[in-house]
Amino acid sequence: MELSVVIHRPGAQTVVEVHGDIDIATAPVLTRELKALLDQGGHQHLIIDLGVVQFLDSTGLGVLIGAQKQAASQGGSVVLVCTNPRLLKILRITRLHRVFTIHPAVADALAQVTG
Amino acid sequence: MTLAESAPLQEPGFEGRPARVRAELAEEVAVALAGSLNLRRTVLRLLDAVRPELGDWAAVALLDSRTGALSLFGGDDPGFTAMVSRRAVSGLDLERVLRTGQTEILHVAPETASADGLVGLVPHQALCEQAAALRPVDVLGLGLTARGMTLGALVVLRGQGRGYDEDEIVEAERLANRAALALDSARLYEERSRVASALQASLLPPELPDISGIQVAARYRPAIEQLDIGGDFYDIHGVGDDWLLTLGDVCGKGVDAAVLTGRARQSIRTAAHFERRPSELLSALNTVFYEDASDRFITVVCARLRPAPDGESAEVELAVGGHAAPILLRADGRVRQLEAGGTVVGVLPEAEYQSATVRLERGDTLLMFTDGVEEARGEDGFYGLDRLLSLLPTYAGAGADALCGAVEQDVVEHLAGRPHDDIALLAVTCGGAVAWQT
Repeated sequence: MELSVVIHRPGAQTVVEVHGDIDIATAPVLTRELKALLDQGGHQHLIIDLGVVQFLDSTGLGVLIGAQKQAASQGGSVVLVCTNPRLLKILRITRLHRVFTIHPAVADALAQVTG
Repeated sequence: MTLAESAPLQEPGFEGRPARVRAELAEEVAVALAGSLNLRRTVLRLLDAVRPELGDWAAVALLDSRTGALSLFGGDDPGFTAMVSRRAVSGLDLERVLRTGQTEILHVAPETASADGLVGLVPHQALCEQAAALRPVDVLGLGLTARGMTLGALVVLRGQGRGYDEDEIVEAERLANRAALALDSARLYEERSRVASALQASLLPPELPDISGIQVAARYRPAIEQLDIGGDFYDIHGVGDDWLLTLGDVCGKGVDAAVLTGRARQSIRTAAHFERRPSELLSALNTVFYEDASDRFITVVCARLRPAPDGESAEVELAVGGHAAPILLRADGRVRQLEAGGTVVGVLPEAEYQSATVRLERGDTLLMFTDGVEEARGEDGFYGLDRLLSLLPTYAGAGADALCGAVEQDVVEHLAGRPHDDIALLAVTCGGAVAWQT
């Protein structure tokens, strides 16, 4: 399964749109992309759009957590956009819905972060 | 006898054999040895490849870098091996070869061509007798040196009064150097494998203890089956009427994940000496792993099991860190997933965990499982929790082992040979199996 990301900057926030499954095979790609953004500076407020992601395993969660830790160390945050019930269930079981703010759409995430 | 005097002769009866060591032989030996990473097999191939061109008879002595002992291979019997201590070769020509890596040539006067004359390079009686029977005039002891270390010696000789000239010795040394590289690789590989197996053994799931009044069972299927270890783990430890069960999953697969599971298991074991409450244990584990500052985390269930003295019931207190809560299967077939939850371990600087309690009566089973069960992807999608919940009532009262076996089989059938994540199951049944009929 392929994974690709599209990066937008609609304002002060950076939106990372993820396409594909996030699992052991593809996680390194996402790690690399997110780390590159955070290392650059100026992207510490990340919105990760998982709107079209169908599968997220524990390795994928690790990537999100790694990004959150790095963003937090720069005074930023990671916000997730997700509506897939499977993914929401995983985030709920792991209680990561309390670590990340989760929104149903990018527009909501942007409104909340800027507002 | 000097080297010059022992110049080789093409004797009658040996016309069919190459008289000299060809320059190509070293390369041929290197190619012959290249494929093998098994030290013994590499030695046997070497012995095979050098005969008859380099010698009618050949033996290899290999030094054990840890004990200093010598392993001997070769001679007439391909399966022959013997061990001799380093002390047994003390002061002999062979020891000089091993110490310096320099070639030693033993000239044998024809009239004294008894076994005694060869012992300097062939320090084993049976080998010595074989060698002497060939009536050699020269015995070559070639150092096998790789990466600056002499790991052994190749001993060769020719029969019927044929020796070696200086050019041939140069070729023989070249050959020995090539062979030494192959032997060194094989030895390195074997050592690495030994280290890996030892580490792996320390990470394998533990043996299940006998607990009075309780039947315990577990299953473990790592994603990378050849490895036997992975990112899922379970553990069970305690004494008498107070036991701790843990089952969990660290993110990732394979060796990196397995190392972390080892640490998680050990951390819980250590902490359990000071704290028996599962919620507090998980808080401690969280702190330890958060300080690790990696993007790794652990999902885990920790349960304290206290069987009653009469074996008719058991109290379970449990806490869950970001993991699927255990399933309770009553003896009469009622089944439900317990309500317990908490944050994954190692993500927040501080995390608190709630305790849940449940009382197991005779025949009740508590099943802990990792997400490899739910997320097993078959042709028609994920295995899923619902399928698990609907499978279990059939096995009510069957006991922990039958239940684990049934779940494993059902998941494996669902997968139908597809790759899967690590899968771990840990179940306890109060009072063991009760009367159960299919």
